[in-house]
Amino acid sequence: MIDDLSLPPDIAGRTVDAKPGPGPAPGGGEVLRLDDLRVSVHDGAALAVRGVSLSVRPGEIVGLVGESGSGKTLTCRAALGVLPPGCAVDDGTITFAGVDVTNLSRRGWESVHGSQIGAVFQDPASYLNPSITVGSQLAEVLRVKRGLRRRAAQARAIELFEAVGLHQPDRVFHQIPAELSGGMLQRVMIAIAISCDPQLLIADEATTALDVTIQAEVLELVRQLRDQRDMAVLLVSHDLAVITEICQRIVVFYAGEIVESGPAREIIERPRHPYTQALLRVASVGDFRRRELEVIAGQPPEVGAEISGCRFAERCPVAAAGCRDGSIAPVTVGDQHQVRCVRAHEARYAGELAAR
Amino acid sequence: MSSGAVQAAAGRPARGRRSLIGPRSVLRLPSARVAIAVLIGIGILTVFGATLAPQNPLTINANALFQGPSSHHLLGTDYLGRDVLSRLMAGTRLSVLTALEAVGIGLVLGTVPGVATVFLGRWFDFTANRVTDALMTLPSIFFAVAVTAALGNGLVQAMVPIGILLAPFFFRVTRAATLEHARAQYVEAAELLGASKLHVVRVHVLRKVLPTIAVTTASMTAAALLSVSFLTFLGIGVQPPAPTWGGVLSSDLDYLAQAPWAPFIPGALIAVTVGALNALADAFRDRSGAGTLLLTAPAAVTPETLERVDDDRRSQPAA
Amino acid sequence: MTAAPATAAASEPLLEIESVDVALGRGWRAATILRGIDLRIWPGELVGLVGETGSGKTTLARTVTGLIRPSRGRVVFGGTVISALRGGARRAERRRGHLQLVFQDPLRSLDPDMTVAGIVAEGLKIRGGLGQEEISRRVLAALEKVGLDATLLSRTPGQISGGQRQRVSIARALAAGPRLLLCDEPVSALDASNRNHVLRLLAELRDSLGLSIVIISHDLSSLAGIADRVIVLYRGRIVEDGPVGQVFAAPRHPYTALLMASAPSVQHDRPLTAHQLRRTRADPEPPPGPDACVFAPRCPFAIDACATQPALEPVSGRWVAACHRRDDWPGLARDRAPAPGRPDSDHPEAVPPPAP
Repeated sequence: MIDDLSLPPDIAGRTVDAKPGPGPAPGGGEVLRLDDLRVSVHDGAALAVRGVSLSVRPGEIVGLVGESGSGKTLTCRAALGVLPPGCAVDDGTITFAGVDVTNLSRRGWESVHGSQIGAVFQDPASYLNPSITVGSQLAEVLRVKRGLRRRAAQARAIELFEAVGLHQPDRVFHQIPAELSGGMLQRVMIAIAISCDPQLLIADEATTALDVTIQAEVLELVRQLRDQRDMAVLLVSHDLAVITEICQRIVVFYAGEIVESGPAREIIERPRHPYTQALLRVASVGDFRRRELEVIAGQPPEVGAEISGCRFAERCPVAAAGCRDGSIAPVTVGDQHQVRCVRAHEARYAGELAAR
Repeated sequence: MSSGAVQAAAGRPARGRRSLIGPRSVLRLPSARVAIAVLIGIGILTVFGATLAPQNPLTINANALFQGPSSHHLLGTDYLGRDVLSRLMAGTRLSVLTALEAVGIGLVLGTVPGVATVFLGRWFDFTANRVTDALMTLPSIFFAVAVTAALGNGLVQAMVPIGILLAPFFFRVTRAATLEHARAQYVEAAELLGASKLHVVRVHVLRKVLPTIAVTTASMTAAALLSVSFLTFLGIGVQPPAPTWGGVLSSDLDYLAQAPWAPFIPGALIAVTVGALNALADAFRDRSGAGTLLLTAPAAVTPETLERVDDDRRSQPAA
Repeated sequence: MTAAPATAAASEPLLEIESVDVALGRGWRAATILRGIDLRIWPGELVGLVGETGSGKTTLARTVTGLIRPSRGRVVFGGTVISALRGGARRAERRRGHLQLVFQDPLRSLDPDMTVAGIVAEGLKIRGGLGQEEISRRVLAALEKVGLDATLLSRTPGQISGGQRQRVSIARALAAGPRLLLCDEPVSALDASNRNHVLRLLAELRDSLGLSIVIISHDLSSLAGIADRVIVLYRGRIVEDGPVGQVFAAPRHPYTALLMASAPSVQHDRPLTAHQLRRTRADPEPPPGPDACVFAPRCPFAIDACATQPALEPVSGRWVAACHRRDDWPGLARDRAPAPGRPDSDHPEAVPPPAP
């Protein structure tokens, strides 16, 4: 029995082809746009994010994937205005719903956070006050941001708990974080994040610490919330398999740069960058029987290392002479599909990649 | 790589963030530098005070009573015409050594059971805690007075009860620190390798508890010094005319009308020394993290540690 | 890639856990974490023990190693009843080093003030009777086995990466000369590429040293490709136990199937979706009572018979499963809706079980 809501059910397993929601608003611009973003760390000593440009349209789920230190988390934090001490945006612009927020003051960010951007991070328990009920924490957000009165805020909070799939939401309202499991806490965090109907939801490794069955539920929840609210989602994970579960566009980070970006289906079926291909080889394919496990040889460069040429060349199985000079600019290889590789257009290259 | 290198690497105490008390790192704090300078001065006086004194501290000069500071008597003279500066310098030894005696007694009586109690089972722990509770109810000065009444009026005898009464503080602090470290997972790992409790204490716990003990020692020395001053102020353990800080203070107060400035001098000396000890204790605490409970928090939130914390958090999956 | 150990059937089990119950806490607050655990590990096999938070998997590892005493039943290792050992006898048995536990979090299980050399050598020093030369030789051999360079010898855990720490933890266990290695979440903290490095290492240890290895994890991707056998634990009971090829081709317990369906994967060709295996509000109430099947509250296929906990019954050969409906639930699952209409997860996510 299918519950109400007139959305057609997805065909079994074909989540990659998921409908992109109601679609971008007519004449709608991008929700988030990063142009040539550069973020330095250690008080300017090292450049950790090196010229990242990406955009998120309304109703889109975009996935950022990369190893630790690839810059995807810093990019997110910059977009949220919450860079750690010692890190700063050196160059580039961050535009949110058409407004330049690159150098926004703290006061300015306060009006953006929550009401326009919501965020969920990895460890929900550390973002909640352990001695106050989760319900009152959500109600407080509603009172402060939406000006609701106490009773209205409580009612709305219970509604939100229901919307994120919490069982017995009125009971959960009165529970403190210690009484809830990790999955439930993450749902509470999602409820808080979407409570003011933000245009963008950022989920930074939001499911990494959850049990796998709960992770699947939370990912489905995010997708359903996007469908219902036409909200854009930026999903960040080191696990490509998680990204492919619900994302329509995938952006691959390596050593501070975007090495490939494009529609999820394209990236999975026809990856054009050797690193993306390597990631696909090591990603989980849902086959748990005995088989040879792939690895990516070598280590990523130190954060901020200055390298001439392609930053992946050292580990690349098809690196050629031209890969090590100058900076490598992204080239377009398909509809919305870009790759940062000088060999992307060579006919021979595709064959070499396939042979690996 | 040679076995000698392995050996050397294995035996070398690590210089981690939370390792041994690093005297070098403590010296970076300006307050610690000042404190150490003061204490070195006091230390010199303890050893050489009597010989460095410009005048004989016992010489009575009936013609020079209650004099203010002058070139001959830098801090003036007291009610018997004796040079105040010399008396204080000579008195340092008695005051400081007896304070150290008390701290020494407290340290041994407190820290050894403090560490042992974590490993010796519930009954020992219960007993030790109750003894500690009982000792902490005794008022120190009265106890000291009672003991000297029984054992004879000597400062050495008087400091023994002070030492005994300092032991509970050492015990409690050491026990708490040992408990925290004894519950660490690497201790469990060592137990799984078949380690005896002695091995665990020797290899994993002792080194980490030392900073806490050092901090407590500095604080308790300050307390002991105050106790000495108070006792000698009361006249306990004083064989006149031997000078002590508290004794000088006491006699100054007797003749307050004639020399109102006088008590400030020994008072300041006591205060500065006690202050320096406490500042040193604070510096140790700040630098070594002794007494903090965060075992794995990164020292600073940088991008690498951000990734690393995320990295490590991933190892704790929740439902 | 070697086939499943041919001699497994003929040899004696290395580890036998017989009807073990484990309860933690005292008096009225006692909670039973494990119930009726019966399992055997044979020499040379790599077993994946899978269970979510609250399943008792870490408690089981700690019980086997003697950190926790079972309230019922016994643990036999290499012929010795190790659960009955105390004091000096237990220490002596541990010093033999045949049973080793690799803890979940190397940041906590490695002394931050010890060097790598000291850490790896510690077990050998505790054992005593070995000269410095011999100890050094074994330390270097252990480090080489896990693929670590001797340059790390004088570093402390804080000075090396997460992946390296994990390997040091494994090296410490290896230096003791184990026959059985229990690894608690060995790869959960690592990203996909590092994960496969460590998994390959474990597989190689099984192949080259003939070790038995038990990988304890909350998700299947931690054992994908290398495990010979999988044991699924749910709320303190074993629900399925069998060879990976057979279990993953056609799981007999719905929870096993749910784990498989929930695992994120880049290939979306799942025979059953997670949604088909979750209870929804439309499903009948599960039978209540303390003796009901542990999975019943979450099971969409629970019937009245599930009011009694099913026993582990053989499916074929060494494959066992505990489900009353083992033969008919797969058909029912296929007939269910493959995707949800709106967030409706109705699993009573109970209070998290007490921490061990």
